[in-house]
Amino acid sequence: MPVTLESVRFRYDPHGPDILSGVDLTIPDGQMIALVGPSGSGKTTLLQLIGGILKPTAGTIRNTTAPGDMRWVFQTPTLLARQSVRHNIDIAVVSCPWSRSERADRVEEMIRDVRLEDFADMPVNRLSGGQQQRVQIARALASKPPLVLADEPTGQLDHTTTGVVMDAIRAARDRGTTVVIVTHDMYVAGLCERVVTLEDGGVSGDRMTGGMTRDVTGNMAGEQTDGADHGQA
Amino acid sequence: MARRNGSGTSRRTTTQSQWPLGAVWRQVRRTLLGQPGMALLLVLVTALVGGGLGLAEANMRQSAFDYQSRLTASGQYVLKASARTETGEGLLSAAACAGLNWVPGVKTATGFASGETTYLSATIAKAPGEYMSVQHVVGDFAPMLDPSSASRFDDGVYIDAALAGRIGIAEGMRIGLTTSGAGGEASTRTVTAHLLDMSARKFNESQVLYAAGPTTGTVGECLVEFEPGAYSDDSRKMVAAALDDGRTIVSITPFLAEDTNAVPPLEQYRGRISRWFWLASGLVCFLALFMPLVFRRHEFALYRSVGAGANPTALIHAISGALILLVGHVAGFLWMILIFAWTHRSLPDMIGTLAMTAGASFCVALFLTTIGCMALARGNMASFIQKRL
Repeated sequence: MPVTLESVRFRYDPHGPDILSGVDLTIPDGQMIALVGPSGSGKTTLLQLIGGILKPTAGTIRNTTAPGDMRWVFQTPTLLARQSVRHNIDIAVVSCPWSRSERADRVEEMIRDVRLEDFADMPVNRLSGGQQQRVQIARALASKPPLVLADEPTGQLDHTTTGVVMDAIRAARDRGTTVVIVTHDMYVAGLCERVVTLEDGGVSGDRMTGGMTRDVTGNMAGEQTDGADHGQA
Repeated sequence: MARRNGSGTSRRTTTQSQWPLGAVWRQVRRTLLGQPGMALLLVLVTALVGGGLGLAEANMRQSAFDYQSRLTASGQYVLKASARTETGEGLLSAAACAGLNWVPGVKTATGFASGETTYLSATIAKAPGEYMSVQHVVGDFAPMLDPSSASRFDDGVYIDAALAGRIGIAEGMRIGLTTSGAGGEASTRTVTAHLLDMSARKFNESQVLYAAGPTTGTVGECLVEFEPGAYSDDSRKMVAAALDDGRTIVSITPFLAEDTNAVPPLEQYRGRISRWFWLASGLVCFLALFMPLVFRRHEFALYRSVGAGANPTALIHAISGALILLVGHVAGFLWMILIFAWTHRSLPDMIGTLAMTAGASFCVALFLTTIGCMALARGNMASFIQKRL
């Protein structure tokens, strides 16, 4: 079931201004969508509404993903500082209905996906900020969640690392995970198949990009398209 | 199945299962091994606090018990019955006094002969120039003269150990004793010397040698010591009744003069502040363990955010804390025993009590830590996520 927002309004203060007003949005299963817009446009607020952290002042949000099944990626990595990369990712698959070997394989797969094989047994507090962010993303994707909500996941990453991270996220999307990314980075937005622009509390743009791809040389390729059909399941 | 809540949002129950206990234990190991320095520090703090406060409690208890023992040795439970003529002759039946040794609740009863007819001055051949006297006693006199002594009915004379040491007399030594009575006639005989420590009840304040006398006749003083649990306000009546011959007025007073400034041992024991040290120790150990957890409470939310339920999340930290508390309290108990033995030159009689103090402290700390972890694990995950967005 897609995530559906109908005429959603939100304000923090009952007597204050609307942060979001009349937002209509449908996010189909398995779509990778970027929320972009200037600061204060309500991107993070919209993310919190989708994730159930905030309740709308008006309107309806339908999200059939349980809070325990959603995974969050924060701008600042939140990890078990004194435990290793492998252990930090492992805690995400403990409650998955898989066998022990499947869980172990999945952890190793995620370590490979984020290119941290050489650091797998190192305590995460000894890693750089970019490496820690990769661990956080690997942990978020390890349990194959139905929905991932990411707030500026590549904000502290360089270009190359951003590419690695987005590859891992897109691999999850290919398996059917719905991904919603708040970002200021238009390069990251371009890697998503759909870009929703927020401005002044409302949706000012919603287009399908087709999704940028990377060829074997690591260069970006693909074309952007304006799609009238955006988000119909 | 989707559920609709009251704010226009529908949700489905999670598809993920609970953390198995094996995973919880694995995470406990990782948590402790991930910060071995902090774990060791907490064990050390727990050991020092638990052991230190337990040691203080043991010392205060021991002090109260020692005080009680000193009072008992001094004659706290001894009554003195006396009756004499104007010339100092005893009026109490020696047999009646000696017979009190068979009364239930009486630890020992001793009669002291008095009067000119019984007074004997004495000298010892080994100690010329030392003038002593011989006091005849009846009943079980050895424990009365020396509370640490068992009953003794040997022939000979009983001398204070310090006096004997000064004049060079050893236990069992045969000594020449010359005595003379009120009539001036002297007699010399060889007797066996027995030593007793007579300092506790101050029977050593004068150079008196004690010897067993006949239970026929009279005594001027009858000292009766009761077992601590048998001593009561009725004890005087019992002694008076036993010594009453129908015509003699018997004076019965406590042997030990009451010190109105001293706190009775039982009050001292009950009022000791250290009786709450098990609670203080548990609270301090809990705070030492839990405060760092409060600063790391984001870890609770982190576990919740990756699908761990509130109970497994709480268990991870509660079990980690429990292990630290257990090792710390065991270590503290052991060093408490060692320090006590070193300072008192003996093992504490109350090892079981020390173990209970450590155990009570452990239980308090464990209970509070578990409650605290459960509270942190049930914290608002939404708030945690919001702070990071």
